[in-house]
Amino acid sequence: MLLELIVKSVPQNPGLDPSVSTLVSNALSSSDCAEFARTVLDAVSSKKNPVFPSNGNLLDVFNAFLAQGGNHPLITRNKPSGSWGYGNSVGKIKNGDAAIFSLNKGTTGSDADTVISELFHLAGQNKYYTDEQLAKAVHNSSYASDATAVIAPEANIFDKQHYQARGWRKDQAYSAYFHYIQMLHCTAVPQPPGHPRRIN
Amino acid sequence: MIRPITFIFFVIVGSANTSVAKGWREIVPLHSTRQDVVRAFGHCNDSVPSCEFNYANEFVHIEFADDSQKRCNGAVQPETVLLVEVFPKNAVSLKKLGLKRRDFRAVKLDRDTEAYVDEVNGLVLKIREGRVLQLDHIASDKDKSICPAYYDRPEEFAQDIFLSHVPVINVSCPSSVRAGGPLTFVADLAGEPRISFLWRLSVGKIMNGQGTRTITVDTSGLEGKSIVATVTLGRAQASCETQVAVQ
Repeated sequence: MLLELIVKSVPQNPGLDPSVSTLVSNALSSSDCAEFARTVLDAVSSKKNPVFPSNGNLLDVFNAFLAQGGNHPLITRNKPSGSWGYGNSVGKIKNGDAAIFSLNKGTTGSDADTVISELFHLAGQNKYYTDEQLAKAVHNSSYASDATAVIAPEANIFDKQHYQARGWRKDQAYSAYFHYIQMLHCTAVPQPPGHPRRIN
Repeated sequence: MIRPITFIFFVIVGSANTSVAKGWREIVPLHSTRQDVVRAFGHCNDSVPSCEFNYANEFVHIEFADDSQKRCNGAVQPETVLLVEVFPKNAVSLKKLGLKRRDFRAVKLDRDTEAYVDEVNGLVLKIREGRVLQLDHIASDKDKSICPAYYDRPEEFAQDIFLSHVPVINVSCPSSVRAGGPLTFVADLAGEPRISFLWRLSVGKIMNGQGTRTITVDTSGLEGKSIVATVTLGRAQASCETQVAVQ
């Protein structure tokens, strides 16, 4: 009954599983996530590429993503060839054709986490915010101190002394930096206390 | 059952060059053992199915056949080296490695990355912009029939484990179990990576599944405790927690 009420309170879209939608909304509504997202979006937003919808927070971005209408699935199981390296998003929310690639074996939680991660890229009105932009926004904020807990020095692209690419492109390293800190604050799959997801 | 060939080591200690021959620095898949690796490099003492270490200008990941022998259907003795994956700290040219393009079959992996496969000598390279990022030493053509399932589609050794652009893994588990009852932790990942899922527990003992995506844990005597299972796959690590109920 309680779950039913929660699901009913979340905007529904035939293109997105309601349980995924609920998990994403709940995660984005937490004050910790809202503050993290606000810090990041304020830093990456520019005159040429502001956040869409205008002055919106990440929950507004998600609601705009849902409100695109039921004309296309919002999660695609097919790897978008053109977007590789810039996230797993295709289309633009402003144009009403945005969708997110999530793995075909994805569970509800991992689908929700993928949506949360990709919303940061899709939030740009005219262009995706890149992993590099997002990582630098975090690195230049007080959230940079989170890196110690979730990123080994060898995986931290900002640690010039210890970083090892091990086959990563730069954008993959920026992606790891941004998303591992992001998942500390905005996630649908919380980790046990003292055991955060970590990249080594 | 193949027995690892015992051989004398001629390890070039102190050389900063990336050596490419059959195998890596005389560690040859399906011929060398964990003991050979420990003797030569002083690493990989733990009896887990894989290990990693830095050596000279390289980062090295080694996979061993395990007790379950799932990968090779019992045809290979446990502790035999299956794979040596080497990441030069700086990408290098084929020429610097003494390799020739014509000896390899090229397979496109994604928009800017290729796998170069030399099936005769058992070498797979990950190449981007003409530079070698990763070398996977696998079984040679002569040996691979011993474990065909593991060495089939060799280009996949150079493929990224994570299909998402974020290298992330999730673990699922029940919120609680009865003490003495079976407890299973499952790593959520699409695809079948060639490297091991390495599990560790905060308390308790893994009954089976170490190295695979699913483990079963013995919960006997753990009433009232919580068990955190942490899995590491390549560079990514995640955890899940289950409470063991008091009867």
